[in-house]
Amino acid sequence: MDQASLSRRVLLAGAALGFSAFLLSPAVRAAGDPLKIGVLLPLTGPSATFGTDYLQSISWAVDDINKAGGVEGHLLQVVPIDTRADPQTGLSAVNRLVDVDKAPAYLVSWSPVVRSTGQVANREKVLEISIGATSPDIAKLGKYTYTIYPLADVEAVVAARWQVKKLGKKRAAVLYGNTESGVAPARLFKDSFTNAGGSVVAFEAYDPKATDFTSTLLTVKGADPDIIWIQGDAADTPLIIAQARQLGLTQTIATVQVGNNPAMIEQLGSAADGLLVTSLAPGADVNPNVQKFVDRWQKEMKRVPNGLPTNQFMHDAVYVLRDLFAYTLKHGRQPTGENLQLAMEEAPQFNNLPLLNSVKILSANGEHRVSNDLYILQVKDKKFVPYDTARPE
Amino acid sequence: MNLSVFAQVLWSSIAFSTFYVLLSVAFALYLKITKVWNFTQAGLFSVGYFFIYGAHRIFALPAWLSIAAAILLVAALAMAIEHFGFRTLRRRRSPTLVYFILSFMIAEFLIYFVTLLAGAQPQSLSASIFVPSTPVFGVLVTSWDGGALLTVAVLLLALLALSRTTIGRKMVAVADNASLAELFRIRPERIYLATAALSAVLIVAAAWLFGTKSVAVPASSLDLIFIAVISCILGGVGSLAGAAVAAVVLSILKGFSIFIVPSIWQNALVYYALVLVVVFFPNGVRLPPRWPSWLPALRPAPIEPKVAQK
Amino acid sequence: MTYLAELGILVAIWTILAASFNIIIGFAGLFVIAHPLFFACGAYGAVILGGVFGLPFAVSVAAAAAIAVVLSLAFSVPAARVSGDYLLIASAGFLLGSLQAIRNVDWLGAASGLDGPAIFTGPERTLWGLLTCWICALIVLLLARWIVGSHFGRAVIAMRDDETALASLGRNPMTIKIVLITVGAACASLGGSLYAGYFQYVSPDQFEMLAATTMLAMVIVGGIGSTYGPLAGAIIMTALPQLVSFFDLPPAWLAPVQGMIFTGIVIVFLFVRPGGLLGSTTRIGQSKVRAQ
Repeated sequence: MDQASLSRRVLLAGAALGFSAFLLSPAVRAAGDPLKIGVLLPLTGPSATFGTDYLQSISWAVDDINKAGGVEGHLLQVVPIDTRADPQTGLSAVNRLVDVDKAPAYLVSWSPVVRSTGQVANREKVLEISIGATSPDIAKLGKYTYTIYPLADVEAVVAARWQVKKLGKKRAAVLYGNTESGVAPARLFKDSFTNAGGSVVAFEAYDPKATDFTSTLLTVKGADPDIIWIQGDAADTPLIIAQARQLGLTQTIATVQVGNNPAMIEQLGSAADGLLVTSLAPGADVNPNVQKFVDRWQKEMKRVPNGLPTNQFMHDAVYVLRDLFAYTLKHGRQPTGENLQLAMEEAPQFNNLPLLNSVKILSANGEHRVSNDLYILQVKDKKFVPYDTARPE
Repeated sequence: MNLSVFAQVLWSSIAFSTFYVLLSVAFALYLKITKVWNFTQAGLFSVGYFFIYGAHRIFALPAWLSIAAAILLVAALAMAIEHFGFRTLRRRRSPTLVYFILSFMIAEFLIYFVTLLAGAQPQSLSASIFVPSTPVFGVLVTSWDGGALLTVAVLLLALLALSRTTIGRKMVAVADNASLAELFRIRPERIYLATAALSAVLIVAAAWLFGTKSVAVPASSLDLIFIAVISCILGGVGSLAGAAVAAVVLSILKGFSIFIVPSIWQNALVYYALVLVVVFFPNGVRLPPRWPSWLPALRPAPIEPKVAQK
Repeated sequence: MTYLAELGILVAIWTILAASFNIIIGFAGLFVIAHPLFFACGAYGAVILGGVFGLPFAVSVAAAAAIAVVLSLAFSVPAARVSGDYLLIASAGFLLGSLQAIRNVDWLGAASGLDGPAIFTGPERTLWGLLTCWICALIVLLLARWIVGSHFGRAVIAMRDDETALASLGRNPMTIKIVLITVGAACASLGGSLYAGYFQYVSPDQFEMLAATTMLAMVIVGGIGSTYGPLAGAIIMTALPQLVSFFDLPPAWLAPVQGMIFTGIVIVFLFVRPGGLLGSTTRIGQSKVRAQ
């Protein structure tokens, strides 16, 4: 438990008011009550760099929708609350959102937070939409908890199958961090790779705080794989790749979306050549709006966003909620959590999303998932270039 | 495991132990002379690390200038902590717990301060952490390895040379018995300040080595300092050489133990080993009682008191 | 109101933790920094025994406390013979090693943590949580007061002041140390069970060294060795950093500034008022325990 683990009501209420004031400019003033969307993200703490970027993408989406007239005469209003990526803080945040702000729906990220807030969503009948979190348990959290972001069983499973079927790899070495985002997806990758006809010749966990991966990498080298899959995070993945190349491992290295980061190419130099990374969101080659999005970041923030694919999901999540609110209001229902959940059941296909093209929610046996193509990119001449698209079966 | 794997793991473990060695010696030095378990060194490490990051990576100052400036800053901070912090506690004859609380709180204060300025994203001190390797007698070696080992060797030799100087002898005297040293007109408080400054050099050097091989966030130093503590205890409290050797041995053990114990259990085993050592072997690993005469003495001859001639 | 009530729940839980920590560090003078582990025992115990085995909450709490006592004995029996710096380092190693072990064990939730059963349910759950936690906090404070005021308490003070002298009078300091550590552990476990019962989620990250320094800070600020000092410390150290929310700071600054305020307060107290708010103004470790 952290001594700074309580939600910061006044400051963030002030931020929400600031957002509202901006959105309620004369040009876009509408008659109806604003439709509140809670946004539970780490705005402080170690993950804040991502959280604040996600909030920026979300607020631009809200801004664009409101400038176009809002939703059936109502404006959207963002209520951002800091979770510090800590489940207990997240719990306080969602309780506040429900009790005080009376938001019928919220966006949330980071698997431990998603799981803890999910209980409140189900109890209070508020719609929870998870983005960015990949724990497979998220599919089973309950009636009111949804994800529009593919869980680990997409990225790891589809990547594994693709590597066997398309890339022709037969012997995989799997390196994974001993964390929530490492263990479960690594196991899924292993099963999928094996089921597709390959064999996992090395399956090594590592301590994410380690600096020397020599022994682990030599174990991998000794197993003679033809591809190395790293299920790691932003801090350890570049270290492992650098040391792998230094130790003479020349095999193809593939990694998850965390590797889809220009800073990593800079850190690795020539060691990054040929690296395969996954992306759960389409790139500019598939969707030209993505380039416009990146250009907007460059223009207004003077840089690219941290975690571009997840930012795309965060941005389009607002459009998903727009569609849910629109569906609900058009059917003469109040915009409550219950009715939004009903809308999700009745109309689970969301088309014409600016950055993702489309999203389809799959519900079966009380579980909610989403189906997604996996975009594979490769590092060539210090840039990420599209390589292939892997489709889920 | 064949010979080439053995040799590679051994080489890499030794190379990776370099920053741990410097941190362990810095911690051990301060402990030996002042008898204080100085956890503020975790905070000082973060300050030095991110100062170099700012100066070298953001403001593009040359590395040597950034390191030199970092040493000055960290030394000044360390001396201020010694003078205003630990000296006050010494005068009050405060118990150990108070030193621990103060040093831990100062460390965390500094880490929060660094987080405020630098954020919490992992950063390295060089633009690229990848250095190509070259086979040398079948072992893949990088220029970083050589540079790191050379740095450690130079600093430790400098420390050894310092122990032979007047100030070095005074430090040893104060470490042995501060009250008695005062009788010989050695001022312990000045020695403590010098110790703080000296530790700062080692800490900043460790930060530079770490940051050119890995990435760190401001809070990374807390994990590193615990390894330094473990090395000090295993090497025998009061022994700089013991701490250095223990750091290397610990790194080698960690490197090889992966072949026996899954890597995810390593840290737990290291911490539990620490508990066992502290409880059952608090004096740590002893150096052999007979030091080979052909090696330079680790401790200089004591200062001979001048006896008035009748 | 829920926000304030949850703040109140946290203060109550921290009071239990700080008070139980004070029993070990303040009364017994033992530098055992593994207290978050006993906190974790209670939390994980409540979640596993209640959630997985379906035991009633009261039974889970008692069983978790028993586990915490066993754990504390496993550590304190061999470690009680060392003291000062070494005990502190050993206990830190015990804490960190055990947390690493939890991260590696699947049925303990590993690094992801575990969801717990809802103990406080219904529309008034926060109110029930608040009442329960404060009643337990009061019990722990009164227990501490009773320990200090009793015949046993006088032996405790004597041991802290001069262990050798106490031993020469025929009392066994080891027994006293072990009793205090186990009592402190059981109380901390209670705090953990209440925490898990209300917040319904536990993970190893919540019990790291930061939790130990937080408890330590509350004990110092409140007055090490004072009976009600932990209560004062818990209130101040929980509420004060929240004042930062009223300043117009960028979000990325909030957590570091709160951390600096928190650690800054402790540092100031160590120099200006080492006895803490409710302790005497004499030095830490030598402050007289007053029945308040």
